[in-house]
Amino acid sequence: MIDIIRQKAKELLESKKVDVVIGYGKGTLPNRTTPIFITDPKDVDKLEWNEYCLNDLAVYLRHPSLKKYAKKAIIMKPCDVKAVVDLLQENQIDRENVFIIGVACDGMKDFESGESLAKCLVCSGHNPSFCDEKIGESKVPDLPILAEFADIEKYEQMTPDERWDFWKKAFSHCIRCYGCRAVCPLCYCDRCIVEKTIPQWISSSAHEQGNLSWGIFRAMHMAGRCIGCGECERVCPAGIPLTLLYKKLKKEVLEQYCYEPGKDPDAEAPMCHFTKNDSEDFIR
Amino acid sequence: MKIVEKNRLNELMKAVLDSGKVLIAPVKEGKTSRYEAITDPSKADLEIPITKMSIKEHFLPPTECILIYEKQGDEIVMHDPEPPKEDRVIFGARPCDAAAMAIMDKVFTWDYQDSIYLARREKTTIVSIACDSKQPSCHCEDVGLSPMTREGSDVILISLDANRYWVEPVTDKGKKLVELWGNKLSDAPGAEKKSIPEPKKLKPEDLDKLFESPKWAELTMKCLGCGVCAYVCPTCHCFDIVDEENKEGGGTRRRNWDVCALSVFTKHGGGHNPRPEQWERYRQRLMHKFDYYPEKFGCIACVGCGRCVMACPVNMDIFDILEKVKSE
Amino acid sequence: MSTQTEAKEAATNKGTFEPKIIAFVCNWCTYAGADLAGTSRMKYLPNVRIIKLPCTGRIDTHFIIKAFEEGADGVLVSGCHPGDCHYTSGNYHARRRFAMFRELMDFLGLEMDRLQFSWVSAAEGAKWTQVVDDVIKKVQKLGPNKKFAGLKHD
Repeated sequence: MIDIIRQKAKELLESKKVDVVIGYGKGTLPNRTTPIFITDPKDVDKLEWNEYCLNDLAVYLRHPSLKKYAKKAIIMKPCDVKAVVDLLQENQIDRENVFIIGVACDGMKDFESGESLAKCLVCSGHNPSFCDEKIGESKVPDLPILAEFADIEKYEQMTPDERWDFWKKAFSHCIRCYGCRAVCPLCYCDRCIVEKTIPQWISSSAHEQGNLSWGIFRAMHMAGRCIGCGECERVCPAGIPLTLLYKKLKKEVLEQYCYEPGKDPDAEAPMCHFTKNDSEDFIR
Repeated sequence: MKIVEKNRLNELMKAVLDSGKVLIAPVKEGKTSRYEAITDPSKADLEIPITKMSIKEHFLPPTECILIYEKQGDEIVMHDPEPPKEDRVIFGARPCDAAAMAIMDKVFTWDYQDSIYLARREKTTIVSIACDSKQPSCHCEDVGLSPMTREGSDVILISLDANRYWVEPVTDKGKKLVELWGNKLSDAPGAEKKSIPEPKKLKPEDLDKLFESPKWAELTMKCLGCGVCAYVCPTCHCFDIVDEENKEGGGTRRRNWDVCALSVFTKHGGGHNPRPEQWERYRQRLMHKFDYYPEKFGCIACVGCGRCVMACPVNMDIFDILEKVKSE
Repeated sequence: MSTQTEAKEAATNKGTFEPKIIAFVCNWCTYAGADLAGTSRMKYLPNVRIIKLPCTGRIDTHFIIKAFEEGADGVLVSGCHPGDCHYTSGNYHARRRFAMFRELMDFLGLEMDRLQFSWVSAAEGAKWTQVVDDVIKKVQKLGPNKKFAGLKHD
């Protein structure tokens, strides 16, 4: 499959259809891959494709360092494509400036442990749909989307006190590195709310109150948008189960508004729109 | 020099607890690992090659109160926070972690004696366990240290053989702790003291000329500017000062970890940013560690632990980049 | 016994805690409804502190978090009925936002009786007093909000 990817990248660069190909290259640690940017067709052999291509490269479509490249080709797993769909929906990128090379994926593995990523075990889409070029085919069966939410049930069944203790402990280790924000393709605000000091809504200090405040805020900003790439949780040095929190809201948005993020760039973003009949059983 | 059996380390940790000291040891939690205060020695995981978070947070916490102010009538009264009362022992640090403390000490005793940091240092005894194996991410030897570096440790445990450690006190604090352990340690008559290779002396290199290299932008293009590298780093020490008010009109002044990778790190109140591009910020981090700090304090502000390389979401490898910038 | 009397009796018992409820209300409907309750001399429990905003659509979820952090035992959010919003659609947006926020808070472990929502129009002075008394009673049963207040921040 890597030969087809390299060939396609070469074609796109030689024909000047794109100025850069964003893909995965060899990293400096065992199993590690790293994002690379190919501009010269002779360099396409640096592109790699294996079960350790973890990064969600969509984060580079709006990255300031790549602004100089007007047209970008990007190598994407089917899950990562959802981020591009969200970015299109939110008018953050132009469709004609992005060439999506969708690569079929059998599931990715953790660099250090070699174990399958948790999100891959409940994947509902191993083959790319929304893309400009499809490469490869995965025979791994797609699970229904509800499989993603299986681990939430355990927490929904806890008492409120048990849940509070769990999240308080989880966020107490947060060091406010903002790694979660940096790797997220959808956290693209030029000025983040945590940098606002007049007034200050979220304390910048890494104490329990500041950390939970940040956690809540980010979760609300991800409602209806998070596509579950899991990069935030992978990068978190404190091991906070962030995807669990964002998935809960993804489940609610699906149940209440029949909306799944990352599917249709022309769909209406759920938190920016409404219907007259939205549920309001919690309002007296 | 005394020795201890490798399977008796729990007893050493228990002795620390029984003497009324706080015991801090490496623990694994899910996908991450850190040094935490524990009351049960069996919770310590001394097999972790290198923890994700370093011992730095026990001397320079991610957030720390440095001043308390209160309104008393028409007056504002200020006072210092309570200094730490308990003695602590960090058991199971890696020699690179301990060496990092010696490096940080230089800036915290430079033009100002940072009493809050120094109080924690004074109350803490660091027991390192020398590394028997090298990880792919380890670079201690590239920065003039070794898997058995003693600097910064109060006691260091070095493998004598598969079952036993040499217990070497490095400082007076370390000697006191070895005395406390008493007969849990034993003699090893006839055992050959392992010849510990001296770390290769690094010739100080003047890297000033790297500042103008045209390679920075290309080598650092993928950096997302998060800050994880500096936060897991045992020698990075920059902090921000904030005031947090309470309802009664008083409050605390705090210092919080800060990182030069963030664009707001150098953003001026007027909007100007002297380091507007990410490559300029990455250059700053690398130059600070390998050029400016050595110029001022005579030592590289890096211990080669490799945590930054492991933790970086996009595999920014500071050693790889340094080599590439240096090469013609 | 009416809810009002029950609640008052509970409140005047010695040792019962007096909750602090913050109410974020919209200017055009609920605030006017609360005014009506006042001009009609309706009696209701005093534990609620009102913050007036132009519209429920203006209410950022972080206003609610801040209220809890600063010591509120309960938060009430109230605005115009769907279809009656002075700004046409502010409350429709708010409805979705609060639905998600409520699920998030529930998942984090906040007791749901501490976070309540209502539609109260400018003509519903009586409803306002009932809603407020009910919220206060429910929060009284739960006790002081130790969860947010108990988060370390100094």
